[in-house]
Amino acid sequence: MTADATLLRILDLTVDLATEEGKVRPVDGVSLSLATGEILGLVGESGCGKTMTALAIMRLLPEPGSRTSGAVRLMDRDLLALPEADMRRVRGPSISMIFQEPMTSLDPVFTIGHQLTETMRAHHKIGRHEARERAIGILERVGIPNPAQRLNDYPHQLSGGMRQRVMIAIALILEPQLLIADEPTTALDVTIQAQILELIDDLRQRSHMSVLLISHDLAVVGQVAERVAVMYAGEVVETMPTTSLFVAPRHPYTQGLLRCIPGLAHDSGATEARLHVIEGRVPELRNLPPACRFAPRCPYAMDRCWNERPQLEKVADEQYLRCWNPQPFRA
Amino acid sequence: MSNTSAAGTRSPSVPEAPPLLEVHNLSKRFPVRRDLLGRPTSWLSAVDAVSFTIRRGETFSIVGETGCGKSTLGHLIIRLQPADTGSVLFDGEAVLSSSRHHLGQLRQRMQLVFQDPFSSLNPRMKVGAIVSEGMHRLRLGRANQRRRTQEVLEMVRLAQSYAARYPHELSGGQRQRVAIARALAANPEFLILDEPVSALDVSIQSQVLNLLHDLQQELNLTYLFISHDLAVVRHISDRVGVMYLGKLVETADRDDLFGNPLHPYTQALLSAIPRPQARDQHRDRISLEGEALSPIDPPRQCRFASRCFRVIDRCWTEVPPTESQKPEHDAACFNIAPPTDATAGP
Repeated sequence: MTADATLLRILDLTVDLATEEGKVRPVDGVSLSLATGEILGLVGESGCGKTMTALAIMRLLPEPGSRTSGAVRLMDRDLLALPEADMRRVRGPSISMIFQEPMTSLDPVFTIGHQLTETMRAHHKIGRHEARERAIGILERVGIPNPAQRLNDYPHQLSGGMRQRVMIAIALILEPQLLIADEPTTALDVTIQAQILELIDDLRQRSHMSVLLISHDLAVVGQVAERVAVMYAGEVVETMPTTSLFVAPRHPYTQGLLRCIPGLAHDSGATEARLHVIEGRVPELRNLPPACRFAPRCPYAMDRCWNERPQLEKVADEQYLRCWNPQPFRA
Repeated sequence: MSNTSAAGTRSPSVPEAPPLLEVHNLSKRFPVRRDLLGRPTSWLSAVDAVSFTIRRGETFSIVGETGCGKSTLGHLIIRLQPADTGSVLFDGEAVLSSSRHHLGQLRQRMQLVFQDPFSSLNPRMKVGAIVSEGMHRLRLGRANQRRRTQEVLEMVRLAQSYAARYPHELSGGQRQRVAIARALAANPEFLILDEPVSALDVSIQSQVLNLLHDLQQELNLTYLFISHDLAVVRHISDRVGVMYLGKLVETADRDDLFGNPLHPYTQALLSAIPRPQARDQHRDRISLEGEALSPIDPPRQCRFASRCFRVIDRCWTEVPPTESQKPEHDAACFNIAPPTDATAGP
């Protein structure tokens, strides 16, 4: 297996949703690629379309009322073109997803062991005993003490960090090629968060799994991802290696987000009483600006930004940008 | 980075400023199990012998993880829940033993802002009514009440037209402004801010933090800021207290706490903060091993011992007392050591 083989290639992914207030497009022309064994961070604020993108990849969007176009290629197969029966065999063994809230994603009436072994037996022909052995093994790998006893526990008997570990164990038990982690640590305390991020990175290194890490937290993404894609109002506005994220972001939105984080100023030695603010608010999907979607909030907006839609273009090695008037970054 | 308290350009907390709030030995236990006769047999120790002082005009933060008792502490201070033992002096007056009438007067001077602006505002009331509810004790006439409502909405930078809207028409940041306006309506001196920005996106969070900063300057407010977010706490605080399972384990000036943490829990907590930098630039972190002690019927020992990387025999048999390690810097630990590379503040 080569390190830079592309595992997932998303091309011009667009999601249309019919809501009570009319049709909206929460994901608009998103293109991303993910190499084997790579962690790609997908960041943005509430409602920017990052979770919708993940659900579209998994084909888990609500069936009536949503329409997905574009292509999602996993190796040589276009997932959007697969019959549902085949797609069901992709979810689990090929792509697994973990969600933000571990309490609502685990079934409260079944033991941890039952949920793990059922997942295995649904996809593989294996006996109860072997399934149990493998369940113990995976719980051990995600760092759960006394795994054999824990198999008999119900979700409510576990702490938040333990539950998220169990979620990860269930997601990993079929050894997927791709893990989609949607805000996997947002509900957790900071010391537990550090453990979970280390665990994800460790599993990636050992099993060569790829990870799409969705988060609103730039610092979390910076900690484990190799590349990052920033979304705003349904579009990817910038992608770059994380080494550039904190020193050379080019998009005014990325720059603004970084300056909003309390603490960045500390690292440059100064303590500011006031934090940076991005003026205005995220546009409503039903009422998007005509060209660049960030223009109404952008300090550098020009006439062109209101008239002509910028495209995602290559500006440096591995750095792509959707902006007519990028400025150098100063923290 | 220098560790002196003068390093920041943060609003200077004058060390000589008189204390506004003095909390002494505050404790609260909740019964979790009872026998046949309804007598409690098992207790959850939520807040255990916590003491600290907040000076007028400063921001004192309590940081800690889920379940450490920081929200309960806020509730005890304004008597939303009765404390078991201990005392709270607000501007020299005893809060916990005051009469109902007197408590009402005190509560006008101390207000609480909750974390979740989605559930803390009555969805059936318009913003104007929500805000003016906060001033019913002032017994203002209707015209004055309307004027005061306009005034506080202006203070939180909301246009007058918002008074006629319902909470569901507002964004998260706007709702939190309404919650702050309601707290300010009675013209308080002291605000308890319980995770006021945790539910907000980062760009909105910075707006609300700036607003809190400006209000403090304009109105000479004193804040007790309760949060789990260390970056936010570092930004807004003058002094910081760290809580672990009901105990205040370390208290220090902001720059001293982040630059020179002494308690092993504080050191582990600081080392776990994801820093805004790429992954290959990260330093070693302290990984906490083991399970946290249960807060139910905790044995007489250091509550952090089961996860501590510097634990010694004594930690299992005695409760470490809070001791002054140097001026303005207290910690409760038998094995104090300065931070290593992994734990020093960024």
